[in-house]
Amino acid sequence: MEFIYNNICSSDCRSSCRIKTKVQKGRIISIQGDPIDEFTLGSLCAKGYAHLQRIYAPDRITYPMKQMGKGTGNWVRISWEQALREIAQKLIEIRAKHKTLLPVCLNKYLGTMGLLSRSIDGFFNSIGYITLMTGSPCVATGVDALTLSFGACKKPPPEDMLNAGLIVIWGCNPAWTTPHQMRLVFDAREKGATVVVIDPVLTATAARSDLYVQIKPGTDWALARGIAKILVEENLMDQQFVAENTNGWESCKNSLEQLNLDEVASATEVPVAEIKKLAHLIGNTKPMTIWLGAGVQHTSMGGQGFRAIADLAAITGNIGIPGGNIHYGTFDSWGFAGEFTSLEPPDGSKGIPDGEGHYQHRQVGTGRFAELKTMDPPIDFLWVASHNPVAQAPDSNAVKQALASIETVVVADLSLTSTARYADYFLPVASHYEYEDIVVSYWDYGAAVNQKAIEPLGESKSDFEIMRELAVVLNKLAPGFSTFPTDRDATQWLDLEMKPLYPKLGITHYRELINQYRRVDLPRVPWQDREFLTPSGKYEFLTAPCTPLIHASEEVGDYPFRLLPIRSFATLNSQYRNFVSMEELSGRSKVLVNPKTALSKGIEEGTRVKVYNQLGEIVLPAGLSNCIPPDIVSVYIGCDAKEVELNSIIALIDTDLGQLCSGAKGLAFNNTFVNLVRV
Amino acid sequence: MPRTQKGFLFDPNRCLGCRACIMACAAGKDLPPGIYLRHVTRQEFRKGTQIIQYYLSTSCNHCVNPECLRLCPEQAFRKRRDGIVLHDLSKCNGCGDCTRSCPFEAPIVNPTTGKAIKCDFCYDKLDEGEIPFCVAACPVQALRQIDIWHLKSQAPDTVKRLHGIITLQITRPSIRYHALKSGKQILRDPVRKGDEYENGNL
Repeated sequence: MEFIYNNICSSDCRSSCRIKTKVQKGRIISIQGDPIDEFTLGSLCAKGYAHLQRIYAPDRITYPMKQMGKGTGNWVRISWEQALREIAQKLIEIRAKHKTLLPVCLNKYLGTMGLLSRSIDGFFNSIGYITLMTGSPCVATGVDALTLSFGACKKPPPEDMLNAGLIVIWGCNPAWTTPHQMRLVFDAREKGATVVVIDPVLTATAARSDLYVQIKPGTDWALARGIAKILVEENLMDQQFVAENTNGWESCKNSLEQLNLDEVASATEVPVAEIKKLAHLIGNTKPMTIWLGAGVQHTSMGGQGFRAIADLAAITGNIGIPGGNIHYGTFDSWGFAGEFTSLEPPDGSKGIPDGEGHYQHRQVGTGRFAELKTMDPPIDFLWVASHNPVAQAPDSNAVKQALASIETVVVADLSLTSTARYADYFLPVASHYEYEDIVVSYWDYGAAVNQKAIEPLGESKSDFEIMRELAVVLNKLAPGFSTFPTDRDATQWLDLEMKPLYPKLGITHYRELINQYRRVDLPRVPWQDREFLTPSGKYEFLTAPCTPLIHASEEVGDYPFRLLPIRSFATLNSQYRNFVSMEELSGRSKVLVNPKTALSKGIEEGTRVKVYNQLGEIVLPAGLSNCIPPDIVSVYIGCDAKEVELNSIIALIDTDLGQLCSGAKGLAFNNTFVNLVRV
Repeated sequence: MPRTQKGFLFDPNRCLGCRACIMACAAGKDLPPGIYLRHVTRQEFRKGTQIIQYYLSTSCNHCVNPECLRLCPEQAFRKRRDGIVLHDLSKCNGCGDCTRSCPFEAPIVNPTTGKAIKCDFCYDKLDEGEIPFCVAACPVQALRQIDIWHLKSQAPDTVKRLHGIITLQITRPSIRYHALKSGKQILRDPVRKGDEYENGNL
């Protein structure tokens, strides 16, 4: 007997592909894209087709383990009963000793986008005020920037790109990160649109553009300002839009007048004549849409960069019109009820005073692991779920040291990630084929039920079951420790969380989403009413003065090459990197260098190269390509981490924004400098 | 000559190098991890001051005159009426002559069975009116299945060769390409005369 189930990829990706899963005798035998998905049209990505290897990975661990000495590799299999009892006792001890749970820290991110993973936050809300690792290593900077300019992140649906006359893809390689959207980019081009790519690296996307502008990394702000200056000087503006719908224009205009285009050219390394041509293209082609990727915002001035780029859409009146606007991201499709996140700690719990007579969680910025050691009271207990910070946070060695110094570290994951190697307890999480869940896309707003296709492998459990059972154990050992409603099952939770979205999906229960494609009903054209959600109600121009910042973007130091960590088609951050097929497909990880750089360093294709800076060193074979400029070296994120930890040489540097919406500044992953030597 | 000849039409102006075709094939055909019947290679070369980069997705080209079929000592290969070249696993002795004789190195010896394996154009899907896994998986329709003999009516501006492709046409491979187009590039450090570098493995 064969059964077909409906699944949806829960990885943190724009596409959120719907999947048809074939099961025979309790085992998944095939995975295919689901043709009812109107965004993917039934195609998956290379990683998606390899999901079987993820579920049945030889290195997947499906039972709880305890490590006798962090980092020793001396793991002992234990029962769930022992694991949860010992973890519960630890939490009870901490509260008894400190009269608060502030020494408990949660680090959770987006290893799965499944709605049920919010139960992790819910559980920790239900036991007390803790230390919460907050912020987003991915979007914090960009979300703040667009919120300051527009009042909120809103975007058009994917198909609105077909209405554009000009598509500007800035700091983004969708050919490898959002291949399905490239169908719409190409279709728009066939209808006459021009495709411009602005990127430091000649990516697969850049190679297919009509115009590729190679920019010096970190100078996006300057280029956007230079273009704006030309738009103003040559009156390529939408005067009416600016007059009626914006705020801060006079101040913005004044700062543009101070700007010297020769300085912009020298900072960005794009000649003045080419900046002018680009400005003419932007000023004369309407509608224009801008696709902002992660690249710009991962530089130290990324937030200003985003705002300066958004200003180009405002100056030209490309906001609130079909085929215009900015394609970045939105949270509007995630209008869940918040049942998990609104769980309250037991009465009498103490935390950080919020100034209004109540308590709140203590916050620490994402990636700032070194701070965990110096807090008062210090962190004694860390729970890591849906995240692999040793691989993903800057300065891996600092993360490892922090993990080593914390008395109890729990990691819940599918396999022994580089973070799990520094855990005391490993809790085996079920893959998303093994429990029912819901994923709502933040790109095309498609909402889909992820059916349980097979039983959880071995003793693995969903994050939700782990949290629920831990609450049961806690309350048995210390009645009233957790307010988590442990008698509510996953189906009830999903129904409660989804209720506010039912009208926007045209359904009355989430299971109606099985076998039909539905999108959360969001406006086809954002900001069409010109009612911006800023305090002024208008679009807010960036008003910061130009000149000093251009000089600030110049980097000097002992390390002459900028290290750009870039995304591969074969991995999603640190996920998927343990697949045999992905390793084979992408080849061994390499450090990518320009042939001129290679020549000056005596490096040839395949030469083993030490890439080093003040933080450490990694050794990789060289790959030569003219697509990488001579002052940049690049390594794919998440490749080949068994021997090489790329982030051990990535510096922890704040971006300029992030605190407003995410609670912590963003991380400037693209501001690391290195040197090279052949070994 | 058969009245039809199944083949591939590949558009280098759309291929993203995303490798979905390879993995869809591997998953659909249930191949052991690390064994693929399709390959994607990155091509990089210089044209004046510009850098040309494109991706090429290839598998068995179901040649009109297949060398594998001619050289196989066990006569394990046959050509269907629609031009698809099939390999009979039960006749294969795993000698590897086909691998060595194919200009495109399309057949490979599967280490788990010790026998040759190659793309069969998903003929069983075709017979059911469906399309091959690789073609179905391409998110941008860069790879299509065509009838080579009736191509002109479907896609008039096709070419038989692209820069970087094995130019040997003696077996008459059943693959056609759209001519490569390139946009304009504003490069910080344009490639100059004397900078010889081609086909980096990015």
